[in-house]
Amino acid sequence: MTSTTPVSALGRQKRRGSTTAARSGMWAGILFVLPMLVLFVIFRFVPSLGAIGMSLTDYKLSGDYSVVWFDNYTRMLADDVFLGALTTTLVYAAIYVPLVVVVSMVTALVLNRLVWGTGFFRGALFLPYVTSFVLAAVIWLWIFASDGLVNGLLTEAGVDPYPFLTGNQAQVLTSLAVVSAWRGFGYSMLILLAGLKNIPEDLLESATLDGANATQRFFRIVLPLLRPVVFFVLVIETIAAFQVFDTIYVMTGGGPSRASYSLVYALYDQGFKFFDFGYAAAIGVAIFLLVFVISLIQRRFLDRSNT
Amino acid sequence: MRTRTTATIAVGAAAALALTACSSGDDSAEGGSSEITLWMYPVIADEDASRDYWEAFETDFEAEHSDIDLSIELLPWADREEKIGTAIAAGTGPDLVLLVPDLARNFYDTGGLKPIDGAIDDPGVYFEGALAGGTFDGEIYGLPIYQTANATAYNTALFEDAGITELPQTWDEILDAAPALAENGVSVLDYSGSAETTLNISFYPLLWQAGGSVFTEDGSDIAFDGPEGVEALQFLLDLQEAGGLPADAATKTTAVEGGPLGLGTAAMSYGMSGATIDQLEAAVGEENVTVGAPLTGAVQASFGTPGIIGLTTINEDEEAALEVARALAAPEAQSAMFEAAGWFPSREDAEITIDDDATQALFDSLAVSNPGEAAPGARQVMSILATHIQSALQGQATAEEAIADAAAEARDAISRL
Repeated sequence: MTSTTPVSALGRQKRRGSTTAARSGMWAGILFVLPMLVLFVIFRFVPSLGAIGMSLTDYKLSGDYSVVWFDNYTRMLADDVFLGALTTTLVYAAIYVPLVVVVSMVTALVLNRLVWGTGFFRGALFLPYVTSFVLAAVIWLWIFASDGLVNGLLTEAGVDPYPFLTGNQAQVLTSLAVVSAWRGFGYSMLILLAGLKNIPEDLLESATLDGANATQRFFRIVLPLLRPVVFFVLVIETIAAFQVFDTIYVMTGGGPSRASYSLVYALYDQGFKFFDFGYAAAIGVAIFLLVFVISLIQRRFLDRSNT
Repeated sequence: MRTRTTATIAVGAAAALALTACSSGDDSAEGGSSEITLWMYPVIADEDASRDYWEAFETDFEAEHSDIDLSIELLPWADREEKIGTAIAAGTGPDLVLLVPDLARNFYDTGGLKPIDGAIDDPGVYFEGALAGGTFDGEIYGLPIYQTANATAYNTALFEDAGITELPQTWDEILDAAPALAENGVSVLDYSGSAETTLNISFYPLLWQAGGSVFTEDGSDIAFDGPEGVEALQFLLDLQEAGGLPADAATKTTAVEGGPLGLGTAAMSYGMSGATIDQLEAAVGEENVTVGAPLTGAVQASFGTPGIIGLTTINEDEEAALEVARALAAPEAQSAMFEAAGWFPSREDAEITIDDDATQALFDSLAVSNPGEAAPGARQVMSILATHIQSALQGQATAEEAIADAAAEARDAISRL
């Protein structure tokens, strides 16, 4: 005598089995994510909430405070130094972001075409990214100083020294953007390189057969296909631009005449020089909101480009 | 691999627990002794000498006070304000810390300091100015343990090369000497306008020499926007136009070594301490350096400030901390500090012997020294004014515009305190 099992029952068993496996997988996933999640909550989320709370107070060194609600924010809107720092940061971002994206794109394109030594060059070009920001700034300070390497060579050549770090805002911010771009382009380069590797080679070959030159292939095929990656790079580099501090701190101290006085520098001064923790926290929240809005705009672009 | 990782974590956790256990064991073994931490800075410029001096102080103090475990941490001058503030805010900072009056005022205003008058047995033995530097709203928050002095140092060889036989001692004489030195590629005066240079040694002495002050007498308002402030800044701009300042005066630091003074491209400076005079002598030759009195504009003035010990609000054993402060301010300790660092005592009963001209010139300058103006918001005002002085030195504003802009911004900052 043979026993048979209805097909529908087999299906139920299979579904039950897959549901159990899915649940098991889900719990495993949660367990894997949990340590990072706990650390994130403790070291990022809770302090962020604390900063928002602090921005509504006049918190002092002694720990005494009173709630001032939105006084720090109204003060910020009327504070010329804050508004100047905002303008400086926007100008810096306008110089830095295109610069780093173009440099990253060019180096990624070159690396993508290399037939030998790719690993070596990729590693070499990524090296500045793993270099300490402060160390890089100290080296570039020596290069850009009034009596530094570049100006020494210019003087030898009979050319007047260039005020890399002592000139007007455009000169100083450009110099700082060059340093930051040198230090930071490696990461974006790798992301763009990964995007380039995903572009089907046969598309480019077909375009070549159809008579498209290199410029046309780049602008008509590569760039449109790379658009989501480029936008991602744009947003992370914009965030980096809004967070610039180390390079400025080491190289110009926010000067001369506040030519490089960024938002994070203003936060640092208010918090750690003048101990106005409430106002410093409010500036921090403002930076967060700015970056958040930019990220939302980026997200909209990304969504549209994916559909 | 997984086993090794687990083992590593386990060993790490065990080590952490073990260290914690050791730490608590040490505490109990000492039978309730008080731990006092003092943050000290390179007041003794030579690193080895500084370490030896403070180790000896710590050992001697603990030998006399077996119930107090003193820990002296030597830190660099750089970012002192930020580090102290952050540490106090985090509740992990020092019990006692070395400050200067305007810095102490900042910590006093923001609730970081407690009164330290309990460490002063007889206020009459202290020089009036030294004690006044750390006195805010009638209470003493800074115990003076030494007194700094600044004088004018000249590179006489550069003046001789330019055919100048009389060393300039007044603003007019400096302006007169500028063109001849400039022809030799030398700026007559060194000036440091970088953001990290305190105006106490750069612009404020000029302001005081012009007869002005940073704040009004009661400290409730700024006063640098009077004609004296404009005059002081105009003096710098006139010098700059005559080639009398280093090309990067707006942004350069005070460094002697590698700077215009050390390289022989600047001929004099009015903000020279014993340590920087030593550096200048090492760089250009002792025989080429002469130390003179503070400069004279409308009046003669210089910066010289007491080094004061502040008691932070995170201190939990005030008696023990005051005992350490008393030892730091004792006449013997101040005499020893003079021998080691060249700083003068802040009290009359500390004995010192001066046996060289440079030290004598520094000592004489104390008669016209200003300890700095420790009014509410002094550090904010300094930061604001420094920015606008940079603007003027970069040709972005006239003296009048820079001072007026700084005054408006400073008043706004003070109004929010």
